[in-house]
Amino acid sequence: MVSNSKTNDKKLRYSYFPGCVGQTSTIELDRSMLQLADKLGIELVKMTEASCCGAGHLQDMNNELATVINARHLAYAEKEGLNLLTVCDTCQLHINEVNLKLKNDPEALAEVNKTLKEVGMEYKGTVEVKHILTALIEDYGLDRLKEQVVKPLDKYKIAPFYGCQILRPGAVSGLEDPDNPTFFEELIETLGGKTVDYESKTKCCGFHVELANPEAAAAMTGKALWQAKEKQADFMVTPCPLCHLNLDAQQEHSLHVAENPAKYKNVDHSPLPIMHVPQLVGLAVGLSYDQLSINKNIIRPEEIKREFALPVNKK
Amino acid sequence: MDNKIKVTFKVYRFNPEVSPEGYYDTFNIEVPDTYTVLDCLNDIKWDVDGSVTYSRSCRHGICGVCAIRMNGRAKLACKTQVRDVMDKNNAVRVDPMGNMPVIRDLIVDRTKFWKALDDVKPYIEKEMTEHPKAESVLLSQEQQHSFHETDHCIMCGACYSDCPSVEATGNKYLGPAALAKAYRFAADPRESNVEQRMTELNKDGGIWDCARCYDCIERCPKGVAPLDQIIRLRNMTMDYPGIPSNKGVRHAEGFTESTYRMGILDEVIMSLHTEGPFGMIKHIPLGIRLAKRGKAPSGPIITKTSDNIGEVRKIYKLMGVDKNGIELKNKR
Repeated sequence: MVSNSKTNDKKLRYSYFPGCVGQTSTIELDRSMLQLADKLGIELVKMTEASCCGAGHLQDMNNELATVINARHLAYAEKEGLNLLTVCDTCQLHINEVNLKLKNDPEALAEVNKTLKEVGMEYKGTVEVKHILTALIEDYGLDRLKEQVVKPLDKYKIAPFYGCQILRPGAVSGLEDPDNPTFFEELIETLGGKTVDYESKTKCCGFHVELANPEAAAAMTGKALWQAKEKQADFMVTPCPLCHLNLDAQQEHSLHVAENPAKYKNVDHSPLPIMHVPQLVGLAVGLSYDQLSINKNIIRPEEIKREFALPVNKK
Repeated sequence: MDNKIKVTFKVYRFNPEVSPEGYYDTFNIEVPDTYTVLDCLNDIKWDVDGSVTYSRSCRHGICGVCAIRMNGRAKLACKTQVRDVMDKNNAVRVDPMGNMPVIRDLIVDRTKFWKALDDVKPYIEKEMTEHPKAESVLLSQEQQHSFHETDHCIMCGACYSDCPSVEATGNKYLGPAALAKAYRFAADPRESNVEQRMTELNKDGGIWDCARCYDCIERCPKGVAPLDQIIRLRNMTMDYPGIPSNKGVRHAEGFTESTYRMGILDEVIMSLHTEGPFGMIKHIPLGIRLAKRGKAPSGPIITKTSDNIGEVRKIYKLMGVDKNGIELKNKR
């Protein structure tokens, strides 16, 4: 991943695909995203027509249907002349997968357009699909972001949890080495934070098997949490609201399912706060705890609440 | 001419006859930068410590026995160049594969992996009333291509080693390789017992225990793309209304229905469809935790239908999915 190294003052605009969970069970994600965009001068045109991306489950039922449903999202962004911005690993994967398929396969594109035409739409294949985490690096640029940092996160040890679908499959994410990503760490370090390295940072939280096999999902979530705790992380941050839901709202249960807590005698047993990417970036660029709706997280980081009680403006 | 590189190998050592605990030995070696990990292990074994134990045979990516973990990821030692896996300190940690018990050093007991493959009946079951005599059962090239990828599997076990669902279910989940193989035979037009196969694959430990992490796609040295085959099996399931319903199927149905009705996901419609009213009880604590933060899972009253939902519904109709959003219901 190449960060935009030149300070780019061009105003960024995106069609913003907020995702389903980002607007309900993790409403703080949508709210913090809007606050951060405002602060950084990124214009988001919210896609109120957006349906669910299918999250893999519509794809399990009928992959062709899911392809057209996501082509509709791409067509809306194209009509605005904008790239599509996601805030969820799963939305990113499923919309981007369709986008790459349609861009590389004219026959598939023609087939999809036959259906879209019936609802008065067309997709030409001109849109790029970007997750906020990669958009900040590739489009906004880390140098430019660094200039915006007014409250460096240098006191904190931060555990990045990538989630699966922003990394894999590499054929969709475009990452040369999806096993050894470093871009999330680079973002955290740009904000002044120290990163914590742990094996499960690129592993699965189990969300997509949560209903079919809840115990398996909890074991996966819990394993990642124990590892981050063992490395004395102050908090964890994830680019995916589905991972967030498992790591935050299901934390206590997952920790118990994964391991016997008695095994971790020297580990801090207090809950580990989990942040969304826009919340983390927002804190560093001067937004407050309340502005970023961190009070909506299930685990409320008390220290962050004290430290970031008030917004800070750039001198 | 090869350039030489210095590499630090940290090799997992385990000998149950000596100690129940494993440990690491470190070997600093200098090798040509074109060396594979297997070449490095051979150098260590032949020149430094003859007791280092690992499996090797064909050394060109076809026998599958040399799969080990390198810096945490299972790959074929013979097909991986050391410069591609060493970290920024030129170090490589090699471990035995995961999800299988270790016999000695880097060698694992693959019994559970073989058992999963055996469980999916990796052969065609053809009902024939008489011997086909000289007539062959023809398979078109197109038909063969529909499961071509899965024939490339060399059963190295790398996907099984790194599958989080195999780990989290204590090996109850059949795993990626076995399910890719299952697809190969379920999709073969010569197979007679497809419905029975699909019924077995829909049971616990089958296709719905995959967490969609895509690790298997990255691990496979042969491009089998096991997860893609698992999704094909899930799609095929929908064509067999006789298969007893299960949470995986109902979850897919719930999403399909919710997207049709609301556009945006309605978590209540989806969960109710998946779990039924009694199954919802176990979600109450989560609901309370969310409610305490003034959040609620989306539901029929509070969820706002996506703008222009008519387009979504029309797309469903044009794609031949019925008005309840559930193609399956017509067939069941």
